[in-house]
Amino acid sequence: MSTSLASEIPWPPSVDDFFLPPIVEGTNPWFTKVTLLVWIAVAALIIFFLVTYREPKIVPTKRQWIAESIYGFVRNNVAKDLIGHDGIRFAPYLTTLFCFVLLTNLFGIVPGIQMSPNSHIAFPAILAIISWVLFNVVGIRQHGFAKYMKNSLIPPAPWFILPLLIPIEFVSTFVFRPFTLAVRLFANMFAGHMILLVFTLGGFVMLNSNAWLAPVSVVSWLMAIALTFLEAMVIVLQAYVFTVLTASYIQGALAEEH
Amino acid sequence: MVRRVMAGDQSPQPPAGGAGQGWVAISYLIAGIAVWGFIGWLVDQRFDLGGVPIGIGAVVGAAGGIYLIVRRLGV
Amino acid sequence: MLPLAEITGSTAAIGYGLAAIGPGIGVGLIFASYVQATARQPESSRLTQPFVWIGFAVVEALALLGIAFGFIWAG
Repeated sequence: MSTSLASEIPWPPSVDDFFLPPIVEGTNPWFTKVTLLVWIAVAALIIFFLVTYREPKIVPTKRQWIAESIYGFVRNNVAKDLIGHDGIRFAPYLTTLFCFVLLTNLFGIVPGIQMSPNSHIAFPAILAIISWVLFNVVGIRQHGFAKYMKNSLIPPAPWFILPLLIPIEFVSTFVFRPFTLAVRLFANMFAGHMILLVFTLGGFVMLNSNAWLAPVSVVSWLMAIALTFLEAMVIVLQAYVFTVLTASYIQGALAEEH
Repeated sequence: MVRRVMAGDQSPQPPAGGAGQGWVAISYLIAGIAVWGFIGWLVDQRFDLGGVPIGIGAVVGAAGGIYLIVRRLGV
Repeated sequence: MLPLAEITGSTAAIGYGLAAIGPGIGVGLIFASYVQATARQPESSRLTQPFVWIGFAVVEALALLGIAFGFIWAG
């Protein structure tokens, strides 16, 4: 290999690239770009929905129409379709969840920011835990604790096979669901960021190496642009899937008669 | 005699669409193998049987997972 | 006597690779037949879908057992 890597390019990209330094050197190590991004996302959502709904009119203004469209999309297509008429009371939480996940995911491809807080496992994990607590509390409140446990843990099977099946049902319902919710979102954001890092930094590495590889760096950057568009699609899809699965679990918890 | 029909009486429908059912199916299989493989490992640690209970547990768990899928998603 | 031929490294990986051939073909056949049956007669898709998941469960259980045993019996 006659290529020489320029020393200042962090190549190859690794997990360490996801651990960012604190914004002000020497202060609290937790105040990084990621923390700031989460605060910005929360503030942006609160301000957006407050401002657009300040004086709602019957004939909506443009901003009010945008806010209503976002809320209407989640309320009609997710809450009402999946949970039924009873599900309208979950529409505010599902809208907030969808918008927050979408916004924090989008930070991953916005030029200049290019880091999604969801590529750290902590944020998807907390969101998944909140959804898990929500669908369990809803089910317990609807049916009572004993009946909810009976409905969700005991499959229709002869009594002598039940000891075999109940641990499987327990793990599949109470462990697998929040775990896959969190890991699905985390893995998509992590992998997306890694791929973009590989192609972008790879272009710079090839540019700085021998003369034969320098033109190939353009191909690498074109791939990075194409993958950014793919990442945009993945971002919207993952936000939607997270919300739809939460709604589906709530529906399963609410209607548990066998 | 009138039977009251309540909104909560609907049985949990399997997730709409094939992809949702696919996730349920694979989750039962993996959960079955993991849970019973782990129980088999605990038995192995306790009685020091040389790895056999893990295999038995995994197969039993796979069978349980298949049975659950047939019951929930099958005819 | 010296061995004639020797493979070093993980034979568990080779074993898993061989074990994944069968379930791979099996799952492909199941879903191919479901797609073909639905293409011939779309109204039958609701009737045949439960069998897709039953078949998938049985075939995929073998693939997952392959992964599990690859780790359990490694080395």
